[in-house]
Amino acid sequence: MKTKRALTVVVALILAIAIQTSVFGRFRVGSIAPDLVLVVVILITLQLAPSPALVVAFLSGATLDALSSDALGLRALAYTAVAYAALRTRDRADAGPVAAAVWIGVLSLFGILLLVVVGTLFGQIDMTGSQLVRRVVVVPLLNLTVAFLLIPLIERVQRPARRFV
Amino acid sequence: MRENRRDITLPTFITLIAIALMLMTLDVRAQGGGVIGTVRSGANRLIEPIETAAAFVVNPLADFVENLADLAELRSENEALRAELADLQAEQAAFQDKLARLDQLEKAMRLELNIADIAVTAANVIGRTDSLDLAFRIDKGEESGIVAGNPVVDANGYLVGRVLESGNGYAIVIPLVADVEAATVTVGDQVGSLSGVIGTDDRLVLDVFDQATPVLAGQQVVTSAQSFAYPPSLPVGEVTEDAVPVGRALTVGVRAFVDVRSLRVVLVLAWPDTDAATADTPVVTTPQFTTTTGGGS
Repeated sequence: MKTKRALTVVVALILAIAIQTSVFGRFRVGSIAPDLVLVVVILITLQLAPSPALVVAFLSGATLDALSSDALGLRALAYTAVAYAALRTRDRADAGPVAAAVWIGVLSLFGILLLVVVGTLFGQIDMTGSQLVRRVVVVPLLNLTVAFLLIPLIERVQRPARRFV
Repeated sequence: MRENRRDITLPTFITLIAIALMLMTLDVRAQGGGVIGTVRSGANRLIEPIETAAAFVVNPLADFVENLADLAELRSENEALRAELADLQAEQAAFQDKLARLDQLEKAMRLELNIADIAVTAANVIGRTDSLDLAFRIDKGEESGIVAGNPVVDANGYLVGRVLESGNGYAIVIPLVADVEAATVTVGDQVGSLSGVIGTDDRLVLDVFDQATPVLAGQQVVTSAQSFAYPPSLPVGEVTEDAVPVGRALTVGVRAFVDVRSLRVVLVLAWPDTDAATADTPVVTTPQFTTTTGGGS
């Protein structure tokens, strides 16, 4: 059972990374795409025990860092912090699919802000960039939309261990 | 028994954050080399086949959707382009005369213009990380002779940026607008330093530090012959507003010609040209692309 769950998590993350870097590389809303991997990482915190969920979040972020031009560890840090915040507040997701989507949107906003602040400290991102503000606002909204679409799908697939009800 | 178990969530969180900070510090200090470079290379190799397969499926679909959306605009755009073509043909005829004169003057002044054939590798854009990172991955790398530092242009010959890292089957391209390293460029007869405004998609800043003269909006910015990183005369962008020097220095905004987010195919130039660099006589080189489709370049 544990192996199956671990395998499902790994496959979901690889799929999310592949979709984010290829599909969302082409389909964008005003040159901005949702951060699908972050959405999946948050959803995974609902399925796994706290420590494995944090490790998965860290590794997902590190993989994306390795694929980007930014310093290795930037997204790993942001995703781990988001996963920790998600673990501490995951009861919010129990209020239903809409509340869960909003919860994911808020966590995404926290993650993007953290990414921008830490990225600026390490000289990877410039938080004074004009289009950056638009991204900081739009990405969480897109994540919220993606989450709203994903949650019913997950509800159908997942075991009754935890549902967004 | 279970109740005696300690909650290790917070220690795990703190440990992972500490590891992330250490990794970032190491990566920034090592500038992508060493163990961090190996980890990065391994992850890219792992994800590259999946991305290529995804791009194989997604690209035709995306093309279809984009073409469908563009269909309505095509007719009016065609008419506008025909009018523009007629104007440009007239302009080109005028230039032919100037080129002939230039040729004669070069012969008279005994200026030798050696035109080097720069080998070019065409590559597909296969991946972008997220909305905050303008860098992208292409499907050609070391096996095609692409190395870190190679200049990258779009299909029209406009400068995109440079190769940040190259591995087997992939390379990461950092666009000039997101690059921390500035490019040496020419605007009019002035040489300046052009750097990206990080956080924007197409904005650059041009600094001319010595003996600057005013520039006008719309003036073209091209790579300079003094640049080590890029071949000369590659178009980069245009000046966005009229500007006059403050003291002896000039700072002005530049809009890049290339829309980095919409790039699908790029050309990687095998630059610097080692033959030209080792020649005995001073050489002026002008890019004249010879496209290769893979393998060696």
